Amino acid sequence: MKKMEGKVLFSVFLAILSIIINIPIASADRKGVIPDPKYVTGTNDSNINGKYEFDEIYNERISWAKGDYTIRWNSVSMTNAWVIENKSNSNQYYSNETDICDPPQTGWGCEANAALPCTQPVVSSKNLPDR
Amino acid sequence: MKRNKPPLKYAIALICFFMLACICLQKAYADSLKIVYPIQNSLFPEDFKPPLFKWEDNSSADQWRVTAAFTDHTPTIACFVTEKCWRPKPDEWKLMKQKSTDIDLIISVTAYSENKRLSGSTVSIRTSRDSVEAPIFYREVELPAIKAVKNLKSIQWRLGRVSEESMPPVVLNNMPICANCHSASADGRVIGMDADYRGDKGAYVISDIGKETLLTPEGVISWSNVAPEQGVRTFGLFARLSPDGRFVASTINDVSVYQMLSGINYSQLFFPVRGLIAVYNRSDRKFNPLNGADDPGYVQSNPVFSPDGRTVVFIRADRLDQKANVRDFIERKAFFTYDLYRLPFNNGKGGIPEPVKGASQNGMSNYFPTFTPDGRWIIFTQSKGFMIIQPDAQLYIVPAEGGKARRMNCNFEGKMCSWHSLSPNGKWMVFSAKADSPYTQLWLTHIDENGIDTPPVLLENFTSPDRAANIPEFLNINSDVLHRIINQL
Repeated sequence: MKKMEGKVLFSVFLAILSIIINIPIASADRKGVIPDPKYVTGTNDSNINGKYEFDEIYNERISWAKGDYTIRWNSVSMTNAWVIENKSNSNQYYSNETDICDPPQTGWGCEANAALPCTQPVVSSKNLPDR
Repeated sequence: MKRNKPPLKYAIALICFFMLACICLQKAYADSLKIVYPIQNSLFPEDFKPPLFKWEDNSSADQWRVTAAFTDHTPTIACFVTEKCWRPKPDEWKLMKQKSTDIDLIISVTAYSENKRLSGSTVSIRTSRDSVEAPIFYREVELPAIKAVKNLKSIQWRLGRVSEESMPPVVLNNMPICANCHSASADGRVIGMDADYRGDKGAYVISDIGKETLLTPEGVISWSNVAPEQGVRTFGLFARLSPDGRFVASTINDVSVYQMLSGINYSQLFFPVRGLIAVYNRSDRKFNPLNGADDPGYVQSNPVFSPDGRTVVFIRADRLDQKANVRDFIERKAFFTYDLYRLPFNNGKGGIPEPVKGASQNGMSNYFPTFTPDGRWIIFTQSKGFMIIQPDAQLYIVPAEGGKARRMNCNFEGKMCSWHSLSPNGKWMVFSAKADSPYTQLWLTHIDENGIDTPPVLLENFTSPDRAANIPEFLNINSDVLHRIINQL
């Protein structure tokens, strides 16, 4: 019974925390609170486009991953930014310097490994139709 | 006769043994004490402040005798010290400089313990009749690089003169950006710097140099819309003013590989992999891509003007293959290399680029070109790959029209030597080196009319022990011209 109460309290704590730091959350199911997935569309690289699931806390922010590809707050071009990159080989594809808790939907720029010609991604919590 | 043979044999053996012992003792005497600064045969400017002589000594010595002996009848300077360093008093240093303009001055250090000589060594230095005169504008940052990036306002800029004994004053701080790329016109009237204005990473600010140099919105230009390419932002890397201050050349549509590395020595990997060069004409306020350095198939960056403003030298490489594995670059399994190219500037119209012989197609990365003020030489950095903060970066000099490049004498073997600037009188070059610390220090070398340089001297009071000094640039200004750069952006 005490264990159950603890779980409920922890879920409530996470929900409040997510409201405070503006993290969008999925419905709190029995397994806990998991951030919604992110969908990347619009790039001309099929490895990049697709669904990214919650991965880990990285640089004090939530990150999402699709295999080795990740969306996370990291260093790029002498600044900090949201970056779409490959964890295994450190290749960086797109970045967005907007300093907010959640990856911005638009305004992404191309980094060194982005496919050419550069097409800007859209990062969304909804699976948008590809352009 | 037979009886004489054994004593002769023994005598020869004894003499050999004695000689060998002498050689060993002499070697041990010399080996245990090593003067680490100044460097043997280094040349000091005549307006240089008294340096700190330093030595290492493995013996059990507790005091050292330092002497500077002169060849004429001038009394020898001699003193005993109880630490492994000595700084001559101003009047002693003045005399040492006066007496070493034409001949070597030999400084001897002898170690003693209880009045017994233990070890000793000497170093020869000279003083140049050429003074430095101009001050050096440079940046001071914390390490590793990630620390500086996370705390940009900790970065500060100082303006120092080699004659000053105190630490150079801070003239610019609290900037919200790295502001790496700065340059001044040859006449010291105008300065240009990277800026981040209203969220525009491609912003650049130009200002007249005065006692209070103001970085104001009126001086801001933007490289961002010169030849925009979808999804590609412009940072305006390595912008450079022309000698007369009329033009600025910069990289546009620049994309770089940028990775923070572990450790403090070489804590970042940064190099441009896409980009072209554009020019801003301050007279008519127009921008245009520089013909000959605007091929999207290459990365073209790091432009510099010849002293007469007629030639631009820049770095060029094939654009990065998008499938390249950055991890291989980090692990130094693969390298990205640049060649130096030159092209006629034609007042911003450009021309046909040509590789600089001796600084191109040599299997190495060639970057950071700088013309000597007389226009005869190009001094550049070379390493196995990439550009900024390379552990094997060394300085090379090549005739400006191209030719055989020569590794400069001022380099430290196996230590990064890079970021260099020539004094307006062309006699001295300042550069950054990680000679004996992860924290880059500034060094000064003399260059003669034949491009021959000397072992360098350290600008020891220019940096705190926990800060790296980099991107030094001589400003052609008098001592009282610049007191402060005020950021009003």
